[in-house]
Amino acid sequence: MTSEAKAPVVEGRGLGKTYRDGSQAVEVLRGVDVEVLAGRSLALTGPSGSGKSTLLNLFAGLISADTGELYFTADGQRHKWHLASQRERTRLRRRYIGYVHQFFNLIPTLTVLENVRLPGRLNVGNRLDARALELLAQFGLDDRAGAFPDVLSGGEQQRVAVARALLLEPPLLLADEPTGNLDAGNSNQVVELLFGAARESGVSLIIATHSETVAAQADDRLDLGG
Amino acid sequence: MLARALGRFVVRSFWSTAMAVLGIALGVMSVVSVHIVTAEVASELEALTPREFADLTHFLHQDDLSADEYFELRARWHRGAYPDIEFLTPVIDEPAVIDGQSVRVLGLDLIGGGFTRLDFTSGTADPRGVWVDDTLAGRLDLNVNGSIEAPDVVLADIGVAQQLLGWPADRLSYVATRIRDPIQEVKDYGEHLLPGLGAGWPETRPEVDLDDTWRLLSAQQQNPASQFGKSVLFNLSALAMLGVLVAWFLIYQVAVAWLRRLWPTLERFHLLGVGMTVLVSSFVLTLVTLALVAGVIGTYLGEWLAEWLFAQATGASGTDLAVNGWVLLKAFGSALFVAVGGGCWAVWRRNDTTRTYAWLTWFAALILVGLTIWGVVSAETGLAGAFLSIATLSVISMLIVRPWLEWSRRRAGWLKGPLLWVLGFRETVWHPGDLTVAIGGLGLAVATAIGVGLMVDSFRADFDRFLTQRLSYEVVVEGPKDALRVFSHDRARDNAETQVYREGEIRVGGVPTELRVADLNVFEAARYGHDGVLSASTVLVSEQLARTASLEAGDSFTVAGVTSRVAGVFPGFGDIAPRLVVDESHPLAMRATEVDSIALRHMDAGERARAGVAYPDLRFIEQTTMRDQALATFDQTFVITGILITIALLVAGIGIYVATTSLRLNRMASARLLTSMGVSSSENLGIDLARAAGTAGAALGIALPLGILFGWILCRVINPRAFGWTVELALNPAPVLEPLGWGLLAALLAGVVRFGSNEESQTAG
Repeated sequence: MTSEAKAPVVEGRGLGKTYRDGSQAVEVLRGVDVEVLAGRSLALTGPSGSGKSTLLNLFAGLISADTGELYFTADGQRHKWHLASQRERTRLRRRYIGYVHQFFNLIPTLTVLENVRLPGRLNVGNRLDARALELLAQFGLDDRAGAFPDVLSGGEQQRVAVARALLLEPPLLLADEPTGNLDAGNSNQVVELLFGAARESGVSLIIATHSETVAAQADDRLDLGG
Repeated sequence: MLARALGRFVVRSFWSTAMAVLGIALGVMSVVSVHIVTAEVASELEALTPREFADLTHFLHQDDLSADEYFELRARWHRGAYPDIEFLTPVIDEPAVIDGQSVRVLGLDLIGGGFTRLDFTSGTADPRGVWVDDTLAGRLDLNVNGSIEAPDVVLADIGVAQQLLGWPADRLSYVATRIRDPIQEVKDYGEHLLPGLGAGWPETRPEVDLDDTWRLLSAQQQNPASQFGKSVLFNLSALAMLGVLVAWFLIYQVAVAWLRRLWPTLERFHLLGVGMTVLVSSFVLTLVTLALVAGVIGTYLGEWLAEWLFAQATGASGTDLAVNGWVLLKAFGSALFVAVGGGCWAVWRRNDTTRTYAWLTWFAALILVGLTIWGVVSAETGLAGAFLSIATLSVISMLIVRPWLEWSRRRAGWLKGPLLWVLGFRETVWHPGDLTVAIGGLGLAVATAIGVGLMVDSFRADFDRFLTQRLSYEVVVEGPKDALRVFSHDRARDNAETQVYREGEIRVGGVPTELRVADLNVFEAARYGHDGVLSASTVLVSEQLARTASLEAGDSFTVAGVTSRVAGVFPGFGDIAPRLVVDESHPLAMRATEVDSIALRHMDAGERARAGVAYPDLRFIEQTTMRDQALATFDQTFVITGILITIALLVAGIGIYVATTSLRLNRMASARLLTSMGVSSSENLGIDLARAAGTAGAALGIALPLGILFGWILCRVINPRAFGWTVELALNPAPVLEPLGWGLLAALLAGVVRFGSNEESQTAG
């Protein structure tokens, strides 16, 4: 664990991404270098439109970079993320990456417990059902297990999303402005859960945020506004 | 600017726009094709009645009617006793054989009768002469004045007709009248819009205070052939409306989907100061434009389909069918109605989401249940009442879809199983606003397919049994009367093996009835389902005659001074006129003078070949051939029905596609979330499949009971009212499973197929 803790989970060199709409092109990322070591946390900061979410989506393998190289290491294997097929990225993402979004974090047609169980069911069948219940209890949501998301508060929904992201104890946890839609109290609670759980289980955390308070809790910081 | 925004939106939403146009065009095609075909058949049916009779609405009958009785009636009419009667004239209307030709002699008061339609300008107008149809021209040794358009009819002044029949000068057949109908104009317009509608109107007896010796018959009762045909047309027209109804659901679905995507743009325009009325009008105008395009396409397709259908139904190819103003009115009226109605309803529902109108739904459902029962139970409501029941049941089924989906949503937690499948299934009930109408539309189309399928299947089974019973002779001989007479004379030595049928026409309670005379021995009587022989005082009546004259087995009735007892009632599938069957010993037998056909219990192939040479004018038809022909004709009859249902299913399938596209807008966030969790495209397809299966399950869950109810109404209510025969509903699996299978396939395809993957995320404007 100790030797692995020093190896980078995510390693990017010269990453660039441009979006095109007809004749218009918007360059969102240019020449970004990034490295996140195992068990450490990184805050992505910068103004709106600076490419925080795009970079997170690159790490998640949801999109691919136009330029540069990106490597993702999981279970001791270093994957060439920039060369991997979409199918391969999907397979690795579902097993090794947890993702918490700002909005619409839960599947509305699944109950709270089913939402948390989902990554487990997608990967290892029902072997993590008990773990899902433990996480809900740990996050103070065990009494909401049978409820559908539409009756949950925003804070509760984000806590469920964090619980779900942690179910598989993935080596990489991505969070895209997870507190952007919450009041201060709920915001603190969710941030504590995220950072606490990441530290506790040795998970690497990359969090995109506007909040200086949140960014300050991270081990490292990458400002995309410059 | 607004127009540009809407135009850009339509172009960017290419596939849903194309689907909307295609759906409306299919609905219009269904309406146009059936209208053209039915209008053509209706005009052919009208030719069965002499044009001179076209304005007459009712007929007054009395046994052995004399001229004195007519003049007494006319005197009372002149004195104002019957204010609703507009016109009154005596009629001679009897079958006869003149110069070896079987004809219908029609005697009218041509001098004072006011038959303005008769063209006296052609030929001469000799009061002792006759007018004949072209079919009789040159075949009668009579003084012919000119031609009329009625097959095998000899029209003459009343005195000449009496002479032709050998009747005394004071004897009449009946009195024809025209009775005022306050809604006649409405009925006429209705008939233009929906050919055959006349058969659907409830039969109402006019308020005319006649004494009990007169029996009043409507023109429909008097001319059952025309009534029969119109009933078929009405059934087809009503079925064709299904295409429009489902198209209406479709355009509503499109309107809802578009509105959801357009609304942000419209709101931005509204914030800039554009009035909401202008915005909504522009939105509806966009739909109207699409409807007009679809109307043009649908009209062209409908004209082509009409010619094809007509060729299928009649065997006549290359018929040039007319597209008149009524067709265009109906085509574009339907298209515009669905566009404006669907668009406005969608806007209204969007602006009125806070109220659920649950009480109104249940109240409306209660009223509709009442109307359904009334239409089924009350025979007086006629064919229209029966179709009203089907319409109200359809609306009830639509009304319950949304509450049912909402109820299911509240219990969605009960559903267990693989999570992605559970997710897909639950999506069916999660957005009732998106799927309600599409589920209802598909349910309705499948229910109609089940109902009609059950009816056709049951009817075919009954018809098959009927043929087995009737076709008990090995060979039937048909041909010219003279040749038949010679053949029957030659076969007289083999009497037990040979059955000679004679036919005539009489009136039972004023209703023209086909009289059939034969040796009603045990074998022959069994063909009508009767055990034993018929005596000189007993008769068999067809189901139509029993219904028209209110007769049942054991009843007695008097015709032409002869009292008979009904020994049994037999089904008469395919009979246009009511039938009365008597033994040769019955006094009425003398009224049937013409040999119609001869049946032989046994005739081997060699004998048949020899007879074919000896009697070259006669046709020797094997029972198996007749059976095959009868069943082939039966199947051909329902070709149009099958095509109409297929069109409705297609439109309903498109409706599901559009609804699913709309639903995908709702689940875009979920879809992104699932992707970020590593759900693969094949798993996404599984979710789509599960949702489509759920959609199909909901639609088919409604379609199954509704379809069986439709089938029952078609067999037990519509068939007796339209044609006079009852069909026993047989619940065989094939006619139920087949439409369910097609419905499932349509829902699965529509739920899984995606045209233009970027369209769903395309923002408005």
